[in-house]
Formats: sequence, structure tokens, C-alpha cells
Amino acid sequence: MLYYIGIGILVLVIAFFMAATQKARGYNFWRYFIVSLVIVASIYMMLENLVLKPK
Amino acid sequence: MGTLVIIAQLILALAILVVLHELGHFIPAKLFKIKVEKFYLFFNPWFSLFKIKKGDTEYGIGWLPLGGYVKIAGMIDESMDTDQMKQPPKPDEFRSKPTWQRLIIMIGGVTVNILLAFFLYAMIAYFWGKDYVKNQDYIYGIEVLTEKLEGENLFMNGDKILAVEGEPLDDLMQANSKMLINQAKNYTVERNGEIVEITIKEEGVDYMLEEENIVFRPRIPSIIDSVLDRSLANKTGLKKGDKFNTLNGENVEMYDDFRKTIIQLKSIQTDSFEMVINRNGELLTLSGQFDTSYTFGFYNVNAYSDVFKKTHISYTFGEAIPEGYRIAKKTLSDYISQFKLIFTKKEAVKKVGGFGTIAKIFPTTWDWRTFWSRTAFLSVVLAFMNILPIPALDGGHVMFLLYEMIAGRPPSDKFLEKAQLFGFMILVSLMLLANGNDVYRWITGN
Repeated sequence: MLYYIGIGILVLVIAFFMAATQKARGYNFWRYFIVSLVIVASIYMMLENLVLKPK
Repeated sequence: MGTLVIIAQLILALAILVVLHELGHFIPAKLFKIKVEKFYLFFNPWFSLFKIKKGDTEYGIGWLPLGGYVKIAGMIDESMDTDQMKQPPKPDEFRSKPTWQRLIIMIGGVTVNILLAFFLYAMIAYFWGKDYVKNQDYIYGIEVLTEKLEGENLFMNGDKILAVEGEPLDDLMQANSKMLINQAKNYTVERNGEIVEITIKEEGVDYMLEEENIVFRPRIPSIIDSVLDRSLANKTGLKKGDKFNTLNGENVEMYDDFRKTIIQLKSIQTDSFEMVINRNGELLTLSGQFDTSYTFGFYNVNAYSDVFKKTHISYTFGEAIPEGYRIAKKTLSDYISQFKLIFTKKEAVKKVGGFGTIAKIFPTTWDWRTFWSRTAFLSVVLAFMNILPIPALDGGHVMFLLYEMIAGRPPSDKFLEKAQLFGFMILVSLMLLANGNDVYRWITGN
């Protein structure tokens, strides 16, 4: 459980920072936050199945 | 305190690299009379730590140290300023300029990073020179750190590696990097006065990636460097400079043999020990009782101690320049080879690191030589990563500009916008992979 909470926080943090770099350039934070969130979450699921395979 | 020193070094190195990289875009843009709206060190979402407007450009420092940016008018970048792009092109905009000017602006950042690395390596060579132990001065040969590569037909402790893939070996540590990075398979070693040719498969690469350890290190004699207070070594009467000959009848002149013997004695629960040591040329026999830890409590000399002859190379200014070029070129080619491993070795994917890994390359104490050397390395990494042909990176822009030069027309704005979004997605994925690995390692302690 703790593992997934950690991953969830990491996904949010990365999406936040990636969107924040776009916000810095004067563009819509939420648009990029949602795009980042979807990508990060999907890539995590792919990685979990393909590479990490937690026992 | 050590962590603060690491963070300070990381932020200073990033600041230097980002400012110079962005200057590489900014200066040619200004020379070609293009409007640059913003020049920022670090990102500034919501607020800036500092900003000042001079002419058309706002210069500032952001609070998010993930890089920096210059906002060039009329350029489709990861910011996707579609409103601006709908207006007709103005003469001071990026998109109005000839392709060759735009290409120079786009490769400016990476060019500065490569030149910076070359300059820093040259200055390190000029001011500090090079200190190392020559391979031939490791007179006791090598210690092999994995059983996978140990044996009659493979390597043995005490072997002296003379050449790798036919090239003479000057620095023993290069044998490790050649095995990992260049996947070298053929080694010439001297074993008991005879020349032996060894051919390996990929055991070394697999071991280094799995265990994050090197395969070879210099073989070191068992000589005490210092004895801990209240230790078994102290109680037994061992002193700094004592050389071990035997322990319970086993030859332990070499420190790897000493460690193996201790493990053996521990496995059969031997209570007592008797050792022969050499103190200033005189042989002494000492004895005692092991405690439950089977630890003597002394530090052995290491590969950098006075046991081995050190070589210092000084460079004149004229010699430092080609040396800087050589090191920068080697660093870049080694990095590219390591990058290829990600696509060929599954284990290598797990070794990709993010900001935590970058921070770890800096030591916990401030040392200017190490700081400039690591900054030069990061400059090479930044140059390489930025020139990858991924939309949203400099290399992506270069790729589309080259297409424009060949096809005679640029890709459509719509295509570029989609490509930028796609590139942004790849960047987010890379961020997750790199920083996710860091967090995974931190959580699992691996």
C-alpha cells in the first residue's frame, strides 16, 4: 500500500514540475498538468509490467 | 552538512551550464536581430526570484531549478505559443529568418556546452595536471571481484593486464570502463611471467550492471595503515606498517587472501589464531583469540597509498588544449556508448538516474578540481541529451530545420505543434524513468 502511495505522490510531483516549466513560459498550467499526469501514470503502468515487476 | 555541500554544488553547476547553454541561443538570436522576450535561469511559474527588463528582453531568475529558457519570438517550441503563430510573421521573429540563421541559433546551446567541457577539461589539465598510478606500477597485478570472470581460462588474482583489444593499458581503471562501455572482449595478461590471451563474453558487463561494481581493482598487499583503539588488532599488538605473512598457516601476504582466510576461519568457527608478520624486516609470531565478529579492527593500505609509485603529469598551456579536447571527446563517446546500453541491456534501464543520481556525482566536501571536472561531464551530458532528435529538444528543432533545408519547405505549423506535444510526452516519460529509478533505489536501498 505504502509503495503505491509513494508512486502516486511521485507521479503527481513529476506532473506538477513538468507543467510548472510550461507555466513559466506563460501557458496553461492545468492543460499541461493533466497531459503530464496521464502520460506519467500510463508510462508507470507500462514500466511496472515490463521492467519493475514488483513482487 | 555534506548534503548541503552536494546541493550547493549541483545548483551552482546547473546555473553555470544553463546560463551558458541559453546564451548559446540568445547571442546568435540577438546578432540576427531577433526579438528575445525572456532569458531565464531556472523556471519561474507564478513568480520570479528576480527579474529586470532591458530593451525587449526580460532577464530573470526563477525558483524551479529544472533548467532555464530563452523565449524567442515567433518560434514553435514546447511552450506552443499558438496565438502568436496565428499572426503574420514580423521581421524580428524567428520564423521570418533564413534557415541557416535558425539552425545556428538552435545548435548554439549544444555547441556552447561542448566548448565549455573542452575548455574546463583543458583548464583542469593546465592548473592541476593529472595524478594517477600507472598500470605497470601496480606491481601486484589485479584482484578479480567476481567469480564469473575468475578461473584458469579467465582472469586470476595477480594477473597483470597488459593490453585490452590489442591496445596497451596505461591506467588499470580503464580496463573496467573498456569492458563496460566498449564491451571489450580480448585481453592480454601476464600470469607468472607468461603471456596469456583471454577472451570473454558478456559476463563482465552483466556483473557491472547488476552489482554496480567494477570487475578489476589493484591487488593490494596486507599492510596495516592504522589500528583502531580497543580492537582485537590493538590487543594483539599489531602496529601501523606491519606486513602479514601467514594466518593460521595460510599465506595472507595479499589482502584478498587475508579476507578469504578470515571468511574460512569464521565458517569453521576457529577460536584462536596464530599469525606471522613482518615488522621492519623482522618476522614476529603473534597469537590470540577471535571474538564473535572475527574482525581485527585495522585499516589496510589502499590502492592510492604510498605502496604504489604515483605519477604526476604537468601540462603547459599549449599541451593542455589538446588534452582538454581529447578528454572531452572521450567523455562524449563513452557517454554515447553507455546510452546505447539502455537499448541493448535490460539491466541498464534500471540504472538510468535523475536529479538524485546527478547530485551523487558531487562529493560531500567542496573540492574545486572535482567540481569543475563534474561540471564538464554534466556539460557533455547536457549537450548530448539536448541534441537527441526528440521534438521539444534542440535536436528536434535541428531535425525539422534540416528537413526544411532538404525539402525546401518547413513542416506545417500543425505538424510542428503535434510533434512538440509528442516530444513533451517523451520528456515526461524520461523524467519519470530517471527520477522514478532514483526514488525506487532510495526506497529499496539498492
